[in-house]
Formats: sequence, C-alpha cells, structure tokens
Amino acid sequence: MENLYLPQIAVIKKIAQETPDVKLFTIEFKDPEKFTAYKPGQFFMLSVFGHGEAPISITSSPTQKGSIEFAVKCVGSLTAELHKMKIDDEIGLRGPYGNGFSADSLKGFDLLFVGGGIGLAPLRSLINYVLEKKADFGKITILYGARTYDDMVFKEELKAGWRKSAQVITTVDMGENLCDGNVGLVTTLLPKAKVNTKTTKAIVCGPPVMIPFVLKDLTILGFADDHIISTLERHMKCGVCKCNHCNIGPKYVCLDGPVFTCAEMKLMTREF
Amino acid sequence: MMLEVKAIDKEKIKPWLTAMLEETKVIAPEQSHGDLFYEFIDSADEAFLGPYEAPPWMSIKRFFFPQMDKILKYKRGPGGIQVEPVVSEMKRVIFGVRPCDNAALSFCDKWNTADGLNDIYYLKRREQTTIVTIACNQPGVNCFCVYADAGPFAKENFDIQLIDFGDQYLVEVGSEKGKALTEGKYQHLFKAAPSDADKKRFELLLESKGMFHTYVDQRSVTEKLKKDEVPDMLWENMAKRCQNCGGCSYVCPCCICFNVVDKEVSEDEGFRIRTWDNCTFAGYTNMAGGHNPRGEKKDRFMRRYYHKLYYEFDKFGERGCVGCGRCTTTCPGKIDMARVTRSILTRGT
Repeated sequence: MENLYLPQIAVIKKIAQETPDVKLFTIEFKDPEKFTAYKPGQFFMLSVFGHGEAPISITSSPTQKGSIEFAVKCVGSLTAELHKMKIDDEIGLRGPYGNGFSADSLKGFDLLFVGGGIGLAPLRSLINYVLEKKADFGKITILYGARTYDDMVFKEELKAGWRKSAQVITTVDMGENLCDGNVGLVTTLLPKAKVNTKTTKAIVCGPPVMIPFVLKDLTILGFADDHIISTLERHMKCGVCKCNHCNIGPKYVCLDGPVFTCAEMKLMTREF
Repeated sequence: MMLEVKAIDKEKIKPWLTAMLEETKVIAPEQSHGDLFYEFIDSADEAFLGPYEAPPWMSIKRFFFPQMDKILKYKRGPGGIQVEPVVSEMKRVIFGVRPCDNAALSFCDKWNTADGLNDIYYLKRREQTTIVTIACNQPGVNCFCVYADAGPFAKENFDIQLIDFGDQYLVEVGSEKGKALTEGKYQHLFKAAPSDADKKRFELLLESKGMFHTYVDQRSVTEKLKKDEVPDMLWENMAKRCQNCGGCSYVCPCCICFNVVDKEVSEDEGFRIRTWDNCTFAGYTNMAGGHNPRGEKKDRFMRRYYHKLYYEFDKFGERGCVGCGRCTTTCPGKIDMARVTRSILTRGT
C-alpha cells in the first residue's frame, strides 16, 4: 500500500530573488523517475525537514520538463526556513495535489488573468502554458496589482516576455509604478482591459481581501458565474483530504479545489 | 453478517483472556481510581467486566490514531536526506469494546479509505487488531447510541460480540479474525448457544433500548442545517459558552482531525509527528501571513456541528457522532452534542 505521507527528496537547483520577500525556487527530484506530470493550478506539499510541511502552488508551466518552480513568499516559520536554504539543499515534495485548472474548458475562449501580489504564482503556470499553446486560445489579457513596484513578482515577464503575445497591464497600490505607470487597486484595471465578457473566461488569484472585490466587479461587467475561475488557499496538513483542516462548507480545498468557479464559490456562503 | 453463534460461561472469561495474553497483547477496560479506561492488561484479573454504567472515559481511538504518532523519520547524512516511514507492528485484541466505539471505528474506516486514498498508519493498526465488543444491557445516563444507529448492540464490523445472558455470554462471531479466537486452543472454553438464544437476545435488546435517558434527533438536525434554518443568534449564544478547551474532540471517538509537526532529536535527525487537533482552536485555520477564515469562535463552533451532522453525512451517509455521550460528560460549557441538537430543535425556528 502506498504511503500518502511519504515525501520524495528533491533538490534546489536555482534560487532567484523576485522581490525583497519572494524567492523563486527551481527544484528537481533527486531521483528523476519520481517526477510526475502536473497540471497548472495544482500544488505540492513541500517539506523543510525539521520545520514541517506546507502546501505550495506550482508556478512553472507543465510544458517545462524535468524541473518545477515554486515562488514562495516569506510569511511564516516554514517559508522563513526555506528562504534560508541554498542551492543543492534538499527538501521533500508530495504531490501534485488538487484539481488544477482545466485547460480544455478554456480552449477557444479569450482569457483574462487577474492577479494580486504573490497570487500571480499559480496563474503564471497557466499563463505560460496557454502562451505556449496560443493557437488554442483567443486574446490573452493579464492584469496584475502589487503593493509597490518592489513587490511585483515576475517583473521580466510582466515587462517584456508576456507583452509579446498578450495584453499586460499592471498597477501598484502605492508609490511609483516603473512598469507602466498605473497606481491604484487591481480592480481599476478591469475597465481598461476592454474584454468581451461573452467570449472571455476570467482567472483570478490574489490575497483573500482582493478576491471578493474582483469577483463582484467582474459580475458587474457582465461575466457569467461559470466564466469566472479562482484558486483558493487554506491551512492544510495533509493534501489528501484526511486532516480535515481545509474545508469550506462540504468542499475540501485539497481535493475538490483549489480551483473553483465563481458559481461554485457562491454556494460557499459561509466560512465553515 | 454472523459466521456462527456460540456461548461461554462467565467463569471461563478469565481463562479465555489468560490464554489470549499468552500469544498477543490485550487491551481491556480497566479501573483506575474508580474511573474506567481501555488499557493494556498484563493479567486477566486487571480486566473489568462489568456491570458497566457508562462507556470508559476515553474511546479506543488512540489505539489506531495515537494522540502523538511518529509517522516518518528523517536523517541527514553524507548522501543527503533519507526519509523512512515509522509503522508500528503489534498484534492485539481489544476486549470489551462498547458498541458505540465499534460503530465509531466503522466511521473511521470509511474516512481513512475515502476517495481511494488509504491512510496506512491507521489501516495497519486496524488490520492487526481483533475487536471483541460487549453489548450494552445498561446504557449510561448520557448515552444515546440508539438514536445514532450505533447501539446498544453492535450490528456489524465486530470480530466477536458478547451479549450478557446472566451466567453466560452469547458469543456472536462476526469475522475470520474472531473465529480464530474461538477455535484451536480456545475451543474447549465455548459451548453451544442456548436453544432460546434468539428470543432472549431480542428481549434483552428491547429492554436495553427502553432504558435510554437521552433523546437526540440527529436526522431532523441534519435537515435543519442543510436548509440553513438555525438562527445565527442561537449559534452565537451557544458559542459564547465554548471554552476552547478541546475536550469534546479529545474524547470523541469520531474526531480524527490531525496536525503535523516536525521534531528534531539531534541536528541531523528527527521525526515527523502527527497529533490530534481540534476544530474549535483558533489556530486550526490560521494561515501563515495572518489570514484566518474562521477567526470567530462562532464560526468554529458552527463548523464543528455542520461537519459532524451535515458534511460527513453528505460524504458517507454517516454522521460523525455515535452517541457515546462522552462530550456531554466532558463539556464544561454544557454545549455538547445532546444539548446543542436539542437547542436547535426546540429553540431554532
């Protein structure tokens, strides 16, 4: 019988400092045979031995073979330890878990990505995937808001890479935006994007305070509930629906999510 | 499903336990300073065989899902980190299990194999355990298993069930594992079941069912929760009395939420440990970064009852409560399963 809780050993191959508190880790399994295919929107349980395990979403596209990228913000004890680690240090990985984004259900649609802060990390996996298979999708728009310009993750891609084949608009909550000048909340970008709400699917991820406002504005713009997709996060101990921590109503973020449509989220009327 | 039915004289119980102890570990109800607990016994004399008035203080949960359980061991060496599972190997018999605890085990079996995902730590222990239940002829004052469809006699999932017939026990054998405890070197202890066993069993069951003091209508509460018909004010008032002590889930045989922590024993070695957790603790849903989706006590309290009576029922067709009444005995705020469900039905509109 397979042991659900046994992590595979993986090695940190590259570390890039994205922002003052976000690092991008490129990870390879120590035994390349253990590499399993994943979907954008899925997550791994990442172990820092001696400090525990936490769910971390995948930020690389599944088309990138052999290695996996995680963009991790230093917010707690485990992530602080991870930030202290160096190239060739070993961590543990279990997964991939979760339903992930269904790329098939997005085919033929224009796509509107709305990201806030570190919430761009899981979206980047899907963005890079659809940009590589551009013929399958319509017009691609990426809206991104960060607290300040310094807090913007994936600046290279936002400024140059993605702009080659997608419309990219960024904003910052405060200070100067050296990317494209906009200052304000990410919701102020929605009217600027000028998308056709009937032919577009919106994919949203950001801090818990941002998501409800974006969903509301998208609905006002005319998006149907099943055309709005979001990915949620919860405190999680197992990733396999045993520890019971991550439920929102009868749904479990680990197994039924983390990707939900706005129609599904509207049924989650209460936070318990 | 019953494989066979036999009988055993009461004076043969101790020789039976003694014979068991020769080849396996035995856990049985044992009195400690006047309270009853399931404990490992070294001799048949330590087992307390009744008459029972209430189930032992703690359920048998901890023998399958220990309060602290080392699940992995990791070691740093020259070749990198090695991780290996820590799986316990121990054959044992749990003797004198109450039907509520047996029913809770069926619930835990479902949870630990749900979605095609099997928890080997639980299942390994389960596989190595033989369950001998003892039917309840005298339910305790807080017991309500009869309304949770879990007792007072066990219906399934036991290896052996004993039913008190006065000077002898009726022995119902429910599995091959149970059969092994009545055959071979144990065979001489048993005799044929009395000819009027069926009639007597029926009468005893009826008599026991009539002795419950606590009535809990879980079915109606589930319906009310599904329709969201319980006023927020009632939840708020009940939640105010919650002391966040965690006692309810500590004693609950169906509470199997867990937390996972790493513990270093030296610079290069340590264990991954899973421990019991409680959904009424604020830290249960607190995320790194400070966002807590259930920061309010009321939400956590509601979640406990929604989870047990609605979500789990939705998922398995079984509720996370077997009516053992332990939370009633334990809760200092008197907001236990029996009282909360009663409040919902009488005061909730």
